[in-house]
This record gives sequence, structure tokens and C-alpha cells, in this order.
Amino acid sequence: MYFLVASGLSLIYGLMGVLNFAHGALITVGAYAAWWFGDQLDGGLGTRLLVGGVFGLAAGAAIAALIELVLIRPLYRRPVEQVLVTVGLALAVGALVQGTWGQDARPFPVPDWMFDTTTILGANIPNDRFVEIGVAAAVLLGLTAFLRYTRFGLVIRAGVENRSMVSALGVDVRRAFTIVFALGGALAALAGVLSGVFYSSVDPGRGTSLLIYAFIVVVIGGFGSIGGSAVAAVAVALIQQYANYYASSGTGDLAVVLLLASVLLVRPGGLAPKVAH
Amino acid sequence: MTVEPHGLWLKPEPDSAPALSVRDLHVHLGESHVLQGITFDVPAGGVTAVLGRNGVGKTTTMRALMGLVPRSRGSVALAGDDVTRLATHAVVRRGVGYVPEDRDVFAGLTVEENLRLAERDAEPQYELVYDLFPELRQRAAQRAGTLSGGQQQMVAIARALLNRNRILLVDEPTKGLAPLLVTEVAAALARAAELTTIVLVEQNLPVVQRLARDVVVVDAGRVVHTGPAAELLSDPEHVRRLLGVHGGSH
Repeated sequence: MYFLVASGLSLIYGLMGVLNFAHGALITVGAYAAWWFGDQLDGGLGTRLLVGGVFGLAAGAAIAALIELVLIRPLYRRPVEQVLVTVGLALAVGALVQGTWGQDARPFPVPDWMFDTTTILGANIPNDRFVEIGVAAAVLLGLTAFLRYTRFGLVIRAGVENRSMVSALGVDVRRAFTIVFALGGALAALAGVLSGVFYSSVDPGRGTSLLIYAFIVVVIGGFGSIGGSAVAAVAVALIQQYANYYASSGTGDLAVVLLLASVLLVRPGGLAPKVAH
Repeated sequence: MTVEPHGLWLKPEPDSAPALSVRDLHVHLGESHVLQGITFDVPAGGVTAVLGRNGVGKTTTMRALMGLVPRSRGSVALAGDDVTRLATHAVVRRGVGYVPEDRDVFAGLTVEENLRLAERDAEPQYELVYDLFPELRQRAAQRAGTLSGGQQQMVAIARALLNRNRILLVDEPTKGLAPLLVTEVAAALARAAELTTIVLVEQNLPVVQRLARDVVVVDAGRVVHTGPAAELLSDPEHVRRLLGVHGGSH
């Protein structure tokens, strides 16, 4: 989940130089859109999750594209205002969701088989974890292929390095910006949907809590690097969980911050700085 | 030097508007008033060299023509079409190729990807590019960041030559290159000049002498001299006064 959120953030910052604090709001939007749409449907939990999830992704992509077109585009040369707008948007979306559906968590449609466990090497692992890992792996492969083999991928990789030179080759970089924002929105929404599966519920604070760790993952992985984000996401999650399990609960967060500080001391640009691959 | 336009490319029509027309161009970068009313015309075909001492605004002029730095006043027209308000990519799509001062190849992309990114025409001129720089064909799969400075310059020029442009803006293409590579780059530009109009910023006067038909001399953000290249370069005293260097009789 950290990877899904971080990869979108990383591409958006790498290409556009925009620190998107509204990314957390897109996680919440995706989760609530999937829950709401699934709730309108008849049928089994699996169908409701699948169709609701697709709707959540579409909502995340559409709202992200709208944010880029209406709010970010007029502010490209004004980073401070960008931060203010995206922070404001994050607060507004959180309040809107809370005002509409309340503070309480809502039950997410999760099929029963996901609650069952599978035993691997003596460990009982809930089945939903396999779904989450599988989706993240598929996204990693899909994104890598998209960046490597498509024209837009080429534009994005080049734009992360030097976007004014990309426009000096006759490419309308603004179109790539909208597409990257929409892609980031869809990935954030997907993280929202998977977090709904993980916790079996959605709540208005979901996006904010995930976003903080996603930022840490992006900084550790290097802005603009999908591979870096994937490695950093696994490292952050493992260190957090091991510290919480073997030390006391809560030390995980401290361990993550220590990891961030050590990476920044050794490699200030992150693991894979400034190259989208 | 041949200055007749080639039939393969966009042929400049005789007696038409200048290929490029710059009027009263002003650029402020931070507190500094870098361009203070640049005005000059570039006739269609051949090479027009933009000369001047370091830091007088030559590169800023090129960047301003491309729309890469904000212009506070003035106008830019391509063959009579006003392009002042167009975004950079739209200027390029009107048929402008750009070779920036620092080459700006995409280091993480391969040579082939650098070229593919520059493709605009339905039929990019790969044959021409590989004919001029056969090395690029051999190094197609190599990351541009691992190339030598000269090879990176070849990629930068090749990107601009891939499309049938009306005009090429080439900024200090021989800067920092070994003498043999300077000759190779100058030969490539001479070939390109047979096909299209070139505006060339260049400090290397022998290269200017070989390629340029006209010169525009910039000093302190203003144009201080325009005229035939041969006329200026044959007068070493004039060259020394305008450019602060000895030259002209190489």
C-alpha cells in the first residue's frame, strides 16, 4: 500500500515538481467511492468489491485530473501556493467525507475467503495479504512496462530529468502532467480500496495516516523512481512491523524515522535519485 | 559555402519574410535586465551567427526565442507568423529545432530513446542523421549519460535534424570539444545549412568563418552590429573591438 501511494507521489513530484498533499485525500476518495458504489449494488461481496473498486479507481483518476486542470495548472511556477492549495484540498475533502458519512468507520465489502488463512512454512497468512501483494506486484510490473515501452512513458522519464528540454522537442508536457496526475490518483484510490480490504472498513482519516509514510517512502526511494519506491516501501513496512513486533508497539514509527535519517545522511537524493525507471 | 535550400526540406521562398524576425526583445532574469531590446532579422537559408563576449545575452536570446525564459517585451516572428505568445512546444511545432548550450541530452535514456522522443514528422530523417553521425547507430542502445561530450553533442544535433525544420537554433555546439570533433560538428552543420536556415551562437571564430553568411553581434543585451560575416571577419581591429578577441584572418 505504501508503494501504491508512494509511486504516484513520486512520479508527480519527479515530473512536475509538485508536492501533492492532496494525495491522501485521493486515497480517501477511492476508498469511499468503492464502498459507496459497492453499497448500491446487489450481488455477492466479491462482485461488490470488484465493481466498487473499479469505480473507486475511476473516481480517483477523474478527480485527480480535475485537480490538476483546475487548481494546479495555474500555479506551476508558484510552489508555495501549490502546497497551500493541496493542503487545503486535503482538509476540505476529509471534512466533506466526514460531514457526509460521519466520523465512524464503515464496513467494507470483503469476501469471506479473504478472511481465511493459508499456511506457508508454518505461518498462517490471511488471504487478503496475497491479494494486496499481488496487486502491488502487478502495478509495479505494469508501471515499469508503461514507462519503458510507451510514448507517454518515454515523455515521463525524460520529463523527470529535464522537462523544459522535453517541451523544446515539441512535446506538450502539460498533457503528460494531467495523465501522470490521473495515474497517481488511480494508484492512490487503489491503495484506498486495498486499505478497505486490509482493515475491512473505511474511515475519513485513512488517507492522512497512509500519506505520511508514503512521503517517507518517496524520500527514501528517490523522487521520480518507481523501482526506488518499491524497494523503499518494502523496507519501511518490514522495519516498522518488525520493530513493533519484537520491541514494543509504537517503536515501528521511530524506526522508520531513523531509517529515513540514515538514508538521507548517506544518500541525500534517496536510493535512486531523479531517474524514472 | 552552399546556401541554396534543398528540395527535401521546407524550401524558403525568395522575397518572402525573413525566416526569423526579432523585435525589441526584453528579458528580466530576477533583478537583472539581461536582454534590453534585441532586434535582428535572419534571412532564409544559410547560417547567421550570433556573436558576443561571454555573458552578453546570447544564450538568453536563444532561450527567449524558444519561449524557455519569460519575455517581458518584444516580438518574435517565424517567416512572418507571430509566435511571441506561443508555448515552447507550439513554437517547435512551427518548425524550429533547438540544440541547447549544455546539450541537455536525457542521461537516463538511450541514444535511440533520445532520438525517438524528438520525432515529430511522420517520416523522421534517420538516414540523414546516421549518415552524419554513424557512431550514433552503433551506440543506439547505450545510455546517453555514458557518452562522451562529443557524442552527446551529436545526439543533441541529431535530435534537431530528425525533423524537417524551417530553422535551427544551435547554441555553442563546439564548446568544450576536441579539435577533431569541432571539425566533425562543423561539417554536420554545414550539411544541415544546405537544407535549412541556422541561427548559430558560436565563440569559435574559425567555425564562424567557415559556416556563417551573416553575423549579429550582441553586447550588454543589445545588438551592436549586423552584416555579412566575411566583412566583419576580414577586419581584425573591428573584431577585436566588438568581441574582445583577435580573429578574422584564420
